[in-house]
Amino acid sequence: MVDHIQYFSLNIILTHGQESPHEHQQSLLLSRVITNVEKLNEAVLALNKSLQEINLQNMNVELVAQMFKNYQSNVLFHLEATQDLQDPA
Amino acid sequence: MSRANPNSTRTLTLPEELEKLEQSITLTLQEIDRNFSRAHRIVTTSILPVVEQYAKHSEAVWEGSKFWKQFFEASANVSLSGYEDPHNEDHTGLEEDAALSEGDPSYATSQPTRLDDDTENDTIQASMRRAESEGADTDEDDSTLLLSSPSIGNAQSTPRPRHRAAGKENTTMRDVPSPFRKSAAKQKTSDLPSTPGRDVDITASSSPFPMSALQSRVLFSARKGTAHQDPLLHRMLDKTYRIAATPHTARREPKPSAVVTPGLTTKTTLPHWLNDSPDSSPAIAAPQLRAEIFGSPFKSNAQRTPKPTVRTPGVSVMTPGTTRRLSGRDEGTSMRMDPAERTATSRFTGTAKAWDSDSDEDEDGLGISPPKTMQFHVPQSRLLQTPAREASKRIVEDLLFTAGGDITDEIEDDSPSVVRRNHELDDSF
Repeated sequence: MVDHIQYFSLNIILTHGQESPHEHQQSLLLSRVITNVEKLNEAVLALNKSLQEINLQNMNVELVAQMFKNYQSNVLFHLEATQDLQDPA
Repeated sequence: MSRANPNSTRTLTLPEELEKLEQSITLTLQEIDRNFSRAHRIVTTSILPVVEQYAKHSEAVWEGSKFWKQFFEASANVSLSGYEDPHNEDHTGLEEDAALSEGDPSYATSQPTRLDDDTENDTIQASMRRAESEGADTDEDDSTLLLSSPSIGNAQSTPRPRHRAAGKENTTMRDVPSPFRKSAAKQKTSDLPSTPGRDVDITASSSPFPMSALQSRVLFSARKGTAHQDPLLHRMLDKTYRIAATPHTARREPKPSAVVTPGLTTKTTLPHWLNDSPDSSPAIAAPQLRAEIFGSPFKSNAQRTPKPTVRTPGVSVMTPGTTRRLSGRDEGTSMRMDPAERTATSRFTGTAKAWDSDSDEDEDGLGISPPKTMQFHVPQSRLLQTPAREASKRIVEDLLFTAGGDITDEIEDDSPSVVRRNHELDDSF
């Protein structure tokens, strides 16, 4: 019985003491994952930056559109106030 | 032997289970790696090119509309710029996209005036809007999706700290309160011709945008309780954009030379923003009759030479400097129009200034004098003692007759308010 116990203990020590091939593979895989995540993060950052710039530009365009809209309403108001509004040809 | 059997089964089972678990972990890691590679590939090969193309087209659109933005800004004498609202109180703490994107230097350069004040830099991190928190929720959902497979928890640790660090870095960029109020105060003290009531409603009326739409957006937003000076322009998924209207400084104050001065369209000098595009000039047309009517020959000749003017169409009622413009225009039109029309437009002339010596200072500062309703400071009794009444009556009669108006009957009543203070009158004093 004592021999069995010693064998079992030795077995456990050997199993956990040496580096298993799985652990090595998993560490490699983890490093790959980390690398991929970093790449993906950079890509998403670039994407966000592009979208931010686009939003900025489009915001200015939206400003212009709203200004035009307001200008049109002002013109309409003025023409109606001065009774110069004519029907479209 | 009875004990050996269980021991042997355990020694056999544990390595097997261990081996099985290791294989499972390896397979899962491979799957994770494969998914990340696929995501990276999709982002880089599919999404980014499309976004760049979109950016190119948006750039073209902006190039096309840049002139008109400058046009309207010059006409309103303000500098408009949309900016991202840094104050979003109900932020939950995750600020991935906003924090990262707000570090964009282009954003900062587009808002140079807002960088003056960054007193709240450290407080902003907690301020995000609910939409952003929604975005954070989606991110969390994604995370949970990723985490749905076992032993993936390590994968999320990489990006998170970077996001938070980036968020802290970018707080200086986005937590810059709008200088709109300060600018308004500056504008208040500037030597521009001030219109009564202008400062009161500058916030509401300075924007060239329909307030109704903006207010509806503000009402639509969940955070209407938090007062903000600037009108809300845009509320996207994770960002709130507002409009910062910065009145132009003294450098640009000569631009009000574009302010309406009826009858002076024969002047050749155009505002600089018109020189860039002569195509826009046809829109500038002004009636020439008004100056002849309302300016005394002496005064108008004195004004005409040094002060070229162009009437700017599209003057917004809600823009700063427009109030003066509008009042000037309406003063002119109210004098030109029938009494009925005059009453119709009189509600806009409530801001008319009394004629005083300050007006000359305004003219010196602006190089132009918007038409003003002339009012006599001379008491009626003194006026009757001078020949000015007769002379002014004759002048107004002639002018109105030239203008085609047959309202000589009204001259008796209107002469005190219609007749300008002219040199004859001055001579009498």
